[in-house]
Amino acid sequence: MGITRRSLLQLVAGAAAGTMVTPLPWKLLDDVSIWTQNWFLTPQLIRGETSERLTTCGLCGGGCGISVRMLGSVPLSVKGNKDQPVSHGGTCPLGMGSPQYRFHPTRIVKPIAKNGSNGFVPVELKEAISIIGKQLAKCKSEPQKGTVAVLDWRPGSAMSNMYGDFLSQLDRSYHLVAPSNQTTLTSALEVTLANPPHQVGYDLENAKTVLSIGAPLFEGWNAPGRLAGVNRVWSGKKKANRPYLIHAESNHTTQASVSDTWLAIKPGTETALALGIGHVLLSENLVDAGALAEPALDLDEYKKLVDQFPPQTVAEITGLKKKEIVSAAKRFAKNTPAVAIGGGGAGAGPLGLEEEIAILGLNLLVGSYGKPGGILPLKTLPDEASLAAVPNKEGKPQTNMVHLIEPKKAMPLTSLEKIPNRSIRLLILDSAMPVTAIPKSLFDQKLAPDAITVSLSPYLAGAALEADVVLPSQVTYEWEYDVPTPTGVPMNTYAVSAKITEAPPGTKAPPEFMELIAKAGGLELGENAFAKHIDDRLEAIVKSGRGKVFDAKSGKDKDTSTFKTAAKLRKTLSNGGCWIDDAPVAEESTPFRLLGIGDQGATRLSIMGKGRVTTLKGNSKSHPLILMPYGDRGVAGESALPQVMTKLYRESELRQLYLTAHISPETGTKRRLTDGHHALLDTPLGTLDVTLVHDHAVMPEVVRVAVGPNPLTLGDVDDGKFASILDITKVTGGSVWRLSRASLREVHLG
Amino acid sequence: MLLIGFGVVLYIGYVILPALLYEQESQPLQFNHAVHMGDEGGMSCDDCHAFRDDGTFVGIPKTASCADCHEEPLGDSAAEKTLIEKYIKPGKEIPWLVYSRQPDNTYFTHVSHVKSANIPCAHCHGPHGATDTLRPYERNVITGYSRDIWGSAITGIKTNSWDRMKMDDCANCHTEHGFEDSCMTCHK
Repeated sequence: MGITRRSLLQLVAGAAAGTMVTPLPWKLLDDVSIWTQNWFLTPQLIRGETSERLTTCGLCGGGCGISVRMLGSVPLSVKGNKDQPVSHGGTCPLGMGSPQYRFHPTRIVKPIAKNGSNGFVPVELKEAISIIGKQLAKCKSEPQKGTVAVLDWRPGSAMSNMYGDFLSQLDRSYHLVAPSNQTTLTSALEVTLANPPHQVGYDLENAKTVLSIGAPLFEGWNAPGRLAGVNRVWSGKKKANRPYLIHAESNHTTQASVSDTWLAIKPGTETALALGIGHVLLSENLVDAGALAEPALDLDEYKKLVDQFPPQTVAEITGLKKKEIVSAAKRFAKNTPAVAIGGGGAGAGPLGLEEEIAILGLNLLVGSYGKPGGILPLKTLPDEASLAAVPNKEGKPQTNMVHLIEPKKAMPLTSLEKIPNRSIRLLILDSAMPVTAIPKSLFDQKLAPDAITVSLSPYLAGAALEADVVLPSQVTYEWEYDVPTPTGVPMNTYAVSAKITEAPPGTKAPPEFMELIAKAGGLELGENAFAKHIDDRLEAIVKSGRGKVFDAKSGKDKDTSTFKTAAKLRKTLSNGGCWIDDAPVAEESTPFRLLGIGDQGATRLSIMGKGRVTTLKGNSKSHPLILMPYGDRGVAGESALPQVMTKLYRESELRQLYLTAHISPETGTKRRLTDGHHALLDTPLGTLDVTLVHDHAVMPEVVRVAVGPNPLTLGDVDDGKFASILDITKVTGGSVWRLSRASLREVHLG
Repeated sequence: MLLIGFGVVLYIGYVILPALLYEQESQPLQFNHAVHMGDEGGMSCDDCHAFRDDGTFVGIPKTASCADCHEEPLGDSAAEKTLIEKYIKPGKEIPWLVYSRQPDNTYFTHVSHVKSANIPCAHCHGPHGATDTLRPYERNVITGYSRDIWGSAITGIKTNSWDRMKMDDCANCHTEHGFEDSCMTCHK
C-alpha cells in the first residue's frame, strides 16, 4: 500500500481533528501571548527591597511634605506626610504622579536649538552655550538695544538668589516674575499699608469665616497640598467648629460646590461686591468705626465711596439678591476671625489691583490683618542682612558670613508687564514648573526683534517650545534644591527637596547651566554658588534661633537652637523636615489707606465698582458674550503633566479639554449653539475653532474655556503647534486677562 | 490514515508537548516544610510568610529569617549544612524558584485574601506545608513561568483549588463569592 494523495489528505484531516481535541493550539496560543508580554522589547519591572524616603515636593513651590516609596534608587510612588505641619498630609495629582516625570515623552536629555524651518535640532552643549554667550555679549555692549532678563518662577529660592547674582553683574537687567495673584496682592499691600510686609499668609486653620472672592481655594490655589491638608483639618472638626465658607464666583465650580454659600456674581463685579460688603459693615455699625478712625487714614473718603454702593445698587451690578450681600457682610463681621481672600485661578490669571485693594480693605475693616485667623504679615527669612541688624551676645553685629562675591544691591523683582516693550534681548526662562498660564502676548511684546530665549527645561513642552535654545535640566528628585515659604502659608517655612535618584547623562541641574552661561558671558558666580546660598540661609536660620524644626523621621518638632550647625539642619531638612518660623506677632494697628495711595484711588475703585466688563474694549453688540478662560494649577501652565494625569483628562467627563467652549444651555438655545458642534470663538484679538459644550455650571452669556492641558502632553499633537485660548484674550492693565468680549458662531464642517 | 493522523497528534499534544514544554530545575535547597510545621518545629505558615505592619506581604523570607534559628546547625541534614555554609555565613540570599510567581502586569494583594477573606494558605498553594521536600521547579520554556500557573495537567483541568493559578481561576473564585471585577482590580 503506497502513500497516495488521498491517504495524505486523510492523515492531515485526522491530524486536524486531533489538534482540536488536544491542548496543543490553546496552550501554545496562551504561552505565546504571555511570551510577548515579557520579550526583550517590553520594559521589565525591577525587583528588590522597597523603602520609604521622606522629602519635600518642590514641583510647584507648595512645599508638601511627602513620603516617596523607593525601589533601590527608583522612586515609585508618592503619598503625603500627614505629620508635616505645612501640608498636613495633602498632596496634589501632579505630586502624586511626580515619579513619572523622569520618563515624560517630551523629556530631552541633550541641548536643542531652533534651526530655522527645521525646528529644534540637537546641538552640543558647547555650541548651545556659545549661542547664549554671544547674545549675552551683545546685551553687554549694546544695552540700548535690549538687555538680559530672567523669568523667575520661584522668587525667594536659592536659584532665585543665583539669578540675582548673575543679573546684578550687568549694568542693566531685569529679574522678572510673571503677573500672578501674589504680585497683585503685593501691589495692593504696598499701596494700602503704611508698613507693607514682603509676604503675607492666610491663617485658614484658625479662621471661622472665609470669604473667597474668585480664589479657587480647593482647586489649586497657592499651595494646593496645604489646602488639601487644611480641608482635612477642617473636616476633622465638629460641624459647628468648621469655618463658614462663602465663595463669590460667576460659575458653579468645585469651589462653589463645596462652599456653604455661593455668591454667583456676574463676571468682573468683584470690586462691587467688596465695596457693597464694606457699605454694610459701616452703615450697620458691624465694625467699630471709632477704633478704625486712627489707623484708617482715609476712612471718610472710603465711606463716601461705599455710599455709592449700597446693597441694592450692588445687587443690580452683581446680579445677586440684596439679602445675599447683607447676609454675607453680617456673617463676615460677626463670625470672626474672618478673612477675605481674592485671587484668580491658574488659567484665569489674577484679579485686578482694584479688586485686591477692595478685598484687602474688608480684612482691614474687621481687624483681620495681623491677627490669628486672618491675614498674617511674615518677616523675611533669616539672612545675613537681618542677622547683621541683630547684635550677638557680645553686642556686635553678626556679619561673619562670607558672600562669594561682593554683594551688590539686591535685584528687585519686577513683574513682567511693568518693563518697557522690546526691552529684552536675552530671556532666560527658569527651570521651575510654571504652574500658572500667562498669555504669550505678554512675552512677545517685551522681546526685542533679535531676542533669543533660553529655556532651562527638562521637557520640550509649554514655554520651552517658544525658546530658541533649550538646556536639558534635571527634574525633581534628580537634584537637591530649597523650598522657601509657599505662597499663602501663615508662617515662614524652609524645606529642601532632596536628590533621591540619578539623572540621565547629558542633563544638568539648573545651577550648573547658569554657571556655564555666566562664564560664557564673562561673569562670575563663584564656586558652588547655589549650594552656598542654601547653606547661607541655613546658617542664618541656625544663628537666628528663630522657630522650630519639624523632624520628619521622628514626626516631632525640635527647637531651632538644638541645631548647632547648618549641616545638621540641612540633613534634617533633606529628609523631609521643615523649618517653621515663630508665629507672626500680632501687629499693633498699622496705618492703612482703604483706597490705596494717590488721588485716584477712589476714582479707580468707583469705575471698577461698576464692573470690569464696562472697561473692556470692544463692541458689546458684535461681541455680546464674556469669555472667561480658566485652568487648574499645574495644568494651565502648559508644563508637562505626569502621564497618569492623561487618564484624568482623557477618561473623565468632569474635566475640560482645551478649546472646548462651555456655555449654559440657555445661551446655547438663545444663540443657536448646539451641544457638541463646532463653532468659531471670536474676540477682538482673533478667532479660534472650538467645540461647544452645554454646561449648567456656566453662567448665561459666559463662555468658559480651559487653558490647558497642553495637547502635546496628552498626545493630541506631536508638532508643538496648537492654539491656546490665551492667544485671543485681551490683557488689560498689564496683568488681567480673565475677561474678554467674545462671540460664538456655529459652523458646520463640510 | 485518518486515525493515524488523529492518534499522532493526540500523542504529540498529551505526551510530547508537556515533555518539551517544561524544563526541570531543582530548588537551591531541599526545604522541609513538614519538620518546621510539625511537632518538632511547631511553626505556622505566617511565622515565616508574614505580613508587615503596613499590610504588605513578606513572601518568601530572607536568609536572615532562617539565620534567626539556623545560625548554628540544629540537625545534621545536608540541606541545613548547605543553608549555613552557602547562604547564612556569606550573607547571601537563597535564589528560590517561586512556583506561584505571576506576570508583572498582575496585582495581587495577600492581605485582602488572607486577612479580609480568611482564605487559608492551602486553598491556593496546596498542602505545601506538609511536604518534606520541594518538588522540582518546572519552567515553561516559552513563558518562563512555573508549570503551577497553568497546572500540572496539560489540559488545564483541575481537581483541587490549588491546581491552577490562571486569571480565570481567580475570576471564578471572585464570582462565586459575589465580587464584581473590573480590569483594574488586578491590572493597575
